[in-house]
Amino acid sequence: MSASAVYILDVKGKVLISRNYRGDIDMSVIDKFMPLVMEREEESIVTPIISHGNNTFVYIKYNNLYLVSTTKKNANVALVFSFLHKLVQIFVEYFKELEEESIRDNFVIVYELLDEVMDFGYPQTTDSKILQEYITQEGQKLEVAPRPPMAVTNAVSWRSDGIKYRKNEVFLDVIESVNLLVSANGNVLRSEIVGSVKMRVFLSGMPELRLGLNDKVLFESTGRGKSKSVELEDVKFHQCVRLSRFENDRTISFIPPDGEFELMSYRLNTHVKPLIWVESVIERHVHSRVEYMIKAKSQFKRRSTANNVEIIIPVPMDADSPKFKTTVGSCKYVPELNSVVWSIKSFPGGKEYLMRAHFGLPSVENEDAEGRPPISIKFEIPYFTVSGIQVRYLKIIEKSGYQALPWVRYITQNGDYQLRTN
Amino acid sequence: MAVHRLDREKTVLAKQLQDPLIMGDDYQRRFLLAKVLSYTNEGEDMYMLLPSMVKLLAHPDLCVKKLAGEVLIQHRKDTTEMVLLAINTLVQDAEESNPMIRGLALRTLSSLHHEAVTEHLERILVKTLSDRSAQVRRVAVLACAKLYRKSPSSVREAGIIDILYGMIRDPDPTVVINCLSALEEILKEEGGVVINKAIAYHLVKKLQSFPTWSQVQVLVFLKKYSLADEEEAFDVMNATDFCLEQNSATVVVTCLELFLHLLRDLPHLHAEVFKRSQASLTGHLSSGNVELIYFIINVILGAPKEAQANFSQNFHSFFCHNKDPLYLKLKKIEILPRLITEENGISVLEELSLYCVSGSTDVSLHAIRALGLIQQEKLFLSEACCKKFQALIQSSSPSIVSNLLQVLQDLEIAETTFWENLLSPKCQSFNTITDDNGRAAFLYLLGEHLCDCEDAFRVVEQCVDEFDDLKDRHVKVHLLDAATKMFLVHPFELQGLLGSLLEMAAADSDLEVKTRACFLYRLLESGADTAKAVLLNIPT
Repeated sequence: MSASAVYILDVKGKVLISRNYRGDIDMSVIDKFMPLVMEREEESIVTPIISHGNNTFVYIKYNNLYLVSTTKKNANVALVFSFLHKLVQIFVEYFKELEEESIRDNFVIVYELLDEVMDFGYPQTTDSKILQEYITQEGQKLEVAPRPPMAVTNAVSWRSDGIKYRKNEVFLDVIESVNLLVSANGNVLRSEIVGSVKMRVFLSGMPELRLGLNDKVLFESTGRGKSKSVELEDVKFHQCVRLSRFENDRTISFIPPDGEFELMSYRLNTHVKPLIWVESVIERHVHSRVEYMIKAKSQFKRRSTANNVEIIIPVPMDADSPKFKTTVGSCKYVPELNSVVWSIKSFPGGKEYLMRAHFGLPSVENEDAEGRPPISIKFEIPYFTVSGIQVRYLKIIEKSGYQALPWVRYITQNGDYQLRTN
Repeated sequence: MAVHRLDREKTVLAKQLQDPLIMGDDYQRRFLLAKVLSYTNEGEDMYMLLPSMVKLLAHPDLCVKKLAGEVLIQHRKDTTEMVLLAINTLVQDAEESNPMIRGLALRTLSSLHHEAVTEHLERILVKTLSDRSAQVRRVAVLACAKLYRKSPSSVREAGIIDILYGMIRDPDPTVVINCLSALEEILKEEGGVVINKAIAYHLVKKLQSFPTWSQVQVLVFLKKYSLADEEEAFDVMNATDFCLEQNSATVVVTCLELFLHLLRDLPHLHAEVFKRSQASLTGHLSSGNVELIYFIINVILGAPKEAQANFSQNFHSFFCHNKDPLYLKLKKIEILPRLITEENGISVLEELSLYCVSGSTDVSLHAIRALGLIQQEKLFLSEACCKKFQALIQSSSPSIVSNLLQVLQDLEIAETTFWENLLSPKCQSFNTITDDNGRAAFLYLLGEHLCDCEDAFRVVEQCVDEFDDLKDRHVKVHLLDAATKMFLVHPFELQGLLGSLLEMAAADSDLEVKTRACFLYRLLESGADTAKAVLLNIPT
């Protein structure tokens, strides 16, 4: 793999910033990019890899931006995709959001970052935590000149020496996202839980951490088969976790990176009752109106509450004069999304709410058939995990012997949560 | 006008670069340089500002050094004197105590790509390759590759190749990877870097401690290792198979590719490798990283049939999402028929028929094609597919009907009742087929399957009446064929019609239509039996 150059373009294909890494191409080759994309879109053969002469454009789209890498040689496309996505992630961590504006406003930093993440077309340091140590918004003077990233003598490449905090704390978030796909006749087509354990670590020195979960395999091997436990599938760990130990005795032990990172992720394919269920009756009266009756049901325990629930109901593009009636929450017509958004701030378990919507339709029918986009739902249930996973302990050992506080939080939220309509 | 404005702008920039007030302020100074650099990137000639840039190379602000260096690099072709002036500062910087400055100076110097730099660079490189800072070593190693492009002989003569081979054992992972990459470029003509047993084993041993990028690249480089025997392949796989469970999809895919490469002489084990990585790959399908998902599906599509079967149980993960870009939807539609088993067949079929009525014509066309494919290949679903076709032909959307007809054209379905039920009701509403591709396909199908139907004659009659308005070549050709075939079956009813059609077509401006008409005319002349044998496949 080696990328000749990386460009960031706006939606019209204008170059916002570019970096020539190898000096082996004419930078103006990018002018061909947008016409090529358009041409292919026209013929519906656009793909994220476009060859043109002896150049290949490999690109991703993010918000309204194109991140394009050009390469002359046979590149590892998967690596380029991940690299570009990594780039997006770095920018998001720097600027909160990556859009045209943030690139213009932070031109210098974007440039510095582009300069740092790649050399001669080969990826270099892309860990934003380490980058933030020496590329900052503020000016740098020689007297406070940054040290190079990470001491080479370190046993681990993901943590620098000499980190110090006054208060040693660890925050552990167990977040479970529910992916759900329900067919128009109410059958659950796909239901899966994607769990992730995220950490924010503010610990001094080189701490050793050990995490205990109610892991079924562990419980069974230690004769606690009867206690409530969870069978984790497809567990993936951050690089810092000692895999050999996990394989031997299921211990999750590691020296954490500093700051925020994802420690592990897992998947559960077990069918669970959909947490929020929506039934819809849609009556279309062609040329005059369309009526919706939406029933939302919370199917989790009464003591839990879903917060910030948003039920997004697609409506025809040419719908007009919206009218709503609902007992709970508020409704809003969002023309940009061609949808009604029904928001319910707090939705306790075991409840059922109703909403009715009415739209006018123009007497002239819209030419192109739109298909039937699904209803999607956003929600967040704190203090609750669908899988029942629990953190039993988090041990922190550092040679200086300080006491550190672990904080644990559980959240269940929507992933790709969609219900198809008739 | 624009040129003048730009010239003025340059003069202002030059002045500002001298202004101590602006240059004394961190933010304004950087902003100013960024402006110069954007102009440079747009291809503007900033030659007049280069002296200031050279001066700024010695500035204490690292960012300013970097930006000024970049402007200079982009103008390197136009000026030898400025490069010469810059060399001094850069060479000095390369001796600095701060490794960040040493690294940057080395990077700028090597990117200048100028004859004047070569001898300095060679000297500095040999020194910095053993620098105590990893950051500097990383830059130095890649600088070797840059130097090689300018002056291959100096790299060879300075013994840099041996040094680089030695540095594969460097404690810093990025240095290791840079070494491999640099050697690969330098030794390109001899087939790239040589991975011998010692290097391969060293890399495998260190793999787990490497960051993601480096892991990917090591896995790629390991492909170059030539195995002593089969057993060794399994040793390497055992040592690297933790990569199949990584949370980076790229690592997983690259590792998968390595395994397939190692097992290239044992193809019966390929399915096993896919089985091992199945869970991991499927997991990434819900990652939301659409480009990578596209890539993963492509990898699975390239796998042998038995290997694809591993993904059947998770066929749900390949369902289209409403927001997927078109290319991804089409890929998913392509793979779904291959995941069909006796158990999930109906579910997949239901899902695909949903896509058939999608708002996007392309999605619909591909989904219908997928149904066609299933109909032909999966016997146990062929009837279910036919039912779907029956339902689709009644769609009110002209584009769906047209797509369906085009797909049906290529299907071999022996049951005549199927065709009668499907086509004859459509004859009455022939006018709802609006596009030429659909009409051509419909006429073709009539000729093939419905030569016995009054309604079909009406359609042909109507088309003959409107012959002068027909534009599309294929519609005309298929009309000719259909009319002739019907004539052969029902000569009495169609004689007149065919006569006038052939006359019109023979006088058509389109050569292909003309030839077809003449061909059919001669065929008919040679006797009904011959014509039937040729067109209707009835033996004489």
